[in-house]
Amino acid sequence: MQRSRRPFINWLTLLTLISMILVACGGAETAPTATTAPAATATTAAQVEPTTAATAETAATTEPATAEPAAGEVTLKLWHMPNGAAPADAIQAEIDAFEKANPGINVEPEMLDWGAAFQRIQTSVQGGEGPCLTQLGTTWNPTFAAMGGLRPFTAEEITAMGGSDSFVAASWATSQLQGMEGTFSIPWFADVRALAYRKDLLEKAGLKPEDAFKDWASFKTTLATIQEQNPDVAGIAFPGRNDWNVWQNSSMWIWNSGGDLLSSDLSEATFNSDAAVAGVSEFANLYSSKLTVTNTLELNSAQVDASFGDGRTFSAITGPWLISNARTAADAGGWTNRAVADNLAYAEFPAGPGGSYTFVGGSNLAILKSCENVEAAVKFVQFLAGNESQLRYSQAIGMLPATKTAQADASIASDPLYSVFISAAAKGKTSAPIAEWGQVESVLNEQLGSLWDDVATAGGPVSAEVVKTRLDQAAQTVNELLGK
Amino acid sequence: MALAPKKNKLSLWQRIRQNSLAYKFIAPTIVAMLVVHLIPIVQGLYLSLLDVRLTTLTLYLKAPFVGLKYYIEVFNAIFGIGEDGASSRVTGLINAASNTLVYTIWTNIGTLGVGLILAMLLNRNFRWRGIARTLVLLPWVVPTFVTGTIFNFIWLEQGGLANRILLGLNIVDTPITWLIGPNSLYALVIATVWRGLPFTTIMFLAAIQVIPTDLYEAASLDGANGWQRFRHITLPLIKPIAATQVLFGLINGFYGGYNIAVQMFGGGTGFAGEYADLLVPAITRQTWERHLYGFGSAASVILMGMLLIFVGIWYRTFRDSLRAE
Repeated sequence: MQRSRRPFINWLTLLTLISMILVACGGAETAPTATTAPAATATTAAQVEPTTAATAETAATTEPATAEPAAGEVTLKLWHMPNGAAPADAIQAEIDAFEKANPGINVEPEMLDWGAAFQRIQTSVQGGEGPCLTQLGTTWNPTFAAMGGLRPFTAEEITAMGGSDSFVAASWATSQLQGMEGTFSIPWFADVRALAYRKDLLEKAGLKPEDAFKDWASFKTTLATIQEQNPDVAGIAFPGRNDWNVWQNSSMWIWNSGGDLLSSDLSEATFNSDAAVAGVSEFANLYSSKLTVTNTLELNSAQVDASFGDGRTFSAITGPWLISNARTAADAGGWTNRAVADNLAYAEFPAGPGGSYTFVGGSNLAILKSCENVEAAVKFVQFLAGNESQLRYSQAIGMLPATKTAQADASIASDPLYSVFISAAAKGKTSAPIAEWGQVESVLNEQLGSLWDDVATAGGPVSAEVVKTRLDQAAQTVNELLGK
Repeated sequence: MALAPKKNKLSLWQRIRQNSLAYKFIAPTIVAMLVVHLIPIVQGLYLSLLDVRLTTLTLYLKAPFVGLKYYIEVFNAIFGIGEDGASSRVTGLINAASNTLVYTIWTNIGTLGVGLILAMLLNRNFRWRGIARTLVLLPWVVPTFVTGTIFNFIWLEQGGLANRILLGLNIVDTPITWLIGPNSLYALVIATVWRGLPFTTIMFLAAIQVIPTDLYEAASLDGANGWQRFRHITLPLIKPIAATQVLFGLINGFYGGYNIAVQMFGGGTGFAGEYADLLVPAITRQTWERHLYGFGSAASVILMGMLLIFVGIWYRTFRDSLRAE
């Protein structure tokens, strides 16, 4: 019996091993076949050649492949992040509208978590496989452009979208890469920061917004007055260390103090200058002066927004997304049954010695070099940058449109809440368009995050020396990373 | 039994031939393990000798060979050696290493100590024992990312469950700040212990349950009290299991904490501040955010080496207990 069973077991082992090896090796090759299968078989032969020469630098090589499938169906894969409260519905509305206007082009969306998106896109750029189109955080554009992973937009394509001047300047700046000609992504929507505040409490204090938020001194007086009159309400809430927006929130104090993050040629850190140290110290000591929600340094952005919605704070550093919260019914998760709903107002950041600036972030749309349907992808980007889609999508996700035309639309420009952001965005500043920005951001987040630990444990105001030590450490690391 | 010594004298090949059927059954697993574990390890080792940065990432394994450059950089970062007295491209490693050591010690004390107590309690006969055993296992089914998110809410200074309990029971007068400042590390340790307890508890419970009850009965007849029975019967007999638990604890301590830290502090930024930054989050953050992939590989290899030293110490310490098993 044993003899007759042995060959069977030998074969079984061999078969199992072979099947495992085949599955392991075959994965990479079988995946594209599966995804391209629904597309027209006529295109298969045409696409084989460009694929084998996919490493060629010119985007033109992929264009002939897109000219032919016009007769058949084209499927575009889109990676996007969870924008707004109902991200899947918001993007699907745009896809439906686009597909209706462009029969034959299907868009397949896939939502990536913000925490995982960077690595997914990086892996995709590295491996030469992935979606045709992807959303990029504005600070990511230089990184992927420097890696050679993005297909630049041509001058004609940009002109068809209204030209570079039709976009908010700070947003357009995020589509470039220093030292390399080209536009590597198209601004999709803008995330502009401002001060949200309760206008009822301001009126109760007998203050006018133009005086209350005029400069740093008047701002601190306003916060102190509000706290005095309303013992249960703190002056301000902002995220401390435990958040994505660590450097963004501090940068506004650096800019308004007259400092900047990097030198004008973007080759050296300047966020440790005297002006920058003064700005960050001013910001940090809002906590030490007990003008903030007591636990503001441990909160993240969502928790800050919640504390504003709950009426625990008079003001908060936040964005335009609170507008949709205030206008959404309570039973749908909005704030319409709360005091804040009718009393939400925004103000630009109080001016410092250097002026009044705000941070402009948001997201861009990029076509990956590996995209085989460039023509259709460009069409979709042009659609999303169009006025109709810009208005509909930005309002659905609670952000600001990236185009000036959409911002000038009556539905936004005449809205007392959105208009503050339009005015602020015009004076907006953003990250530097250098490949190393991700590294700069990481170092800044670390040292500024540690500074919040210093502030939390100081038991009083932190000295300018403490702030300078942290920023000097960050500058030393950044300069080394920038090759200085 | 008499054949056993002879078996030991057989060569490896002879032993494989003798047990060929068993080896055929485990062959697919061996191949899978090689594919899943060995190839990435070898690739990681090779990567640590290459200059893989942002601009060379697409070259991957064809990136320029730089030998031990990144190993030297990691040592410079740890020991403060370098052109300017310290290499500052990578920061905070020595601080993260020190936090990791404290984190590993406390998480082990917590999971092993509390796990043993829970196991002994759950071994006793009481009415709701089945429900209690199920409840103790619950944290095990909670993914670590979710654990981090839950504890972010539990530790909130204002309105967090921990402070509500502490204030309600008059243990403290003012709310404790957990998520920023020096308590951050202990907030991380407690969350890790909570997540790790079910495994240690169930392992100890299994070990205790196989101890013959007549040993306890004989000891009781000899006049041994509860502590003496625990000290001289339970403890020696669960020592092999405890040894294994310590090994898991060491590995989890050194490599763990990432998921919980990332969610508990920062909703994804992965920086728990200088008080609670651990080695793996620090290496991961600096590798990916600063695009220092060669450095990250070298640092991971060094971490693996350090862990192997600890495993070596562990083996020497518990060698006799393991052999006894």
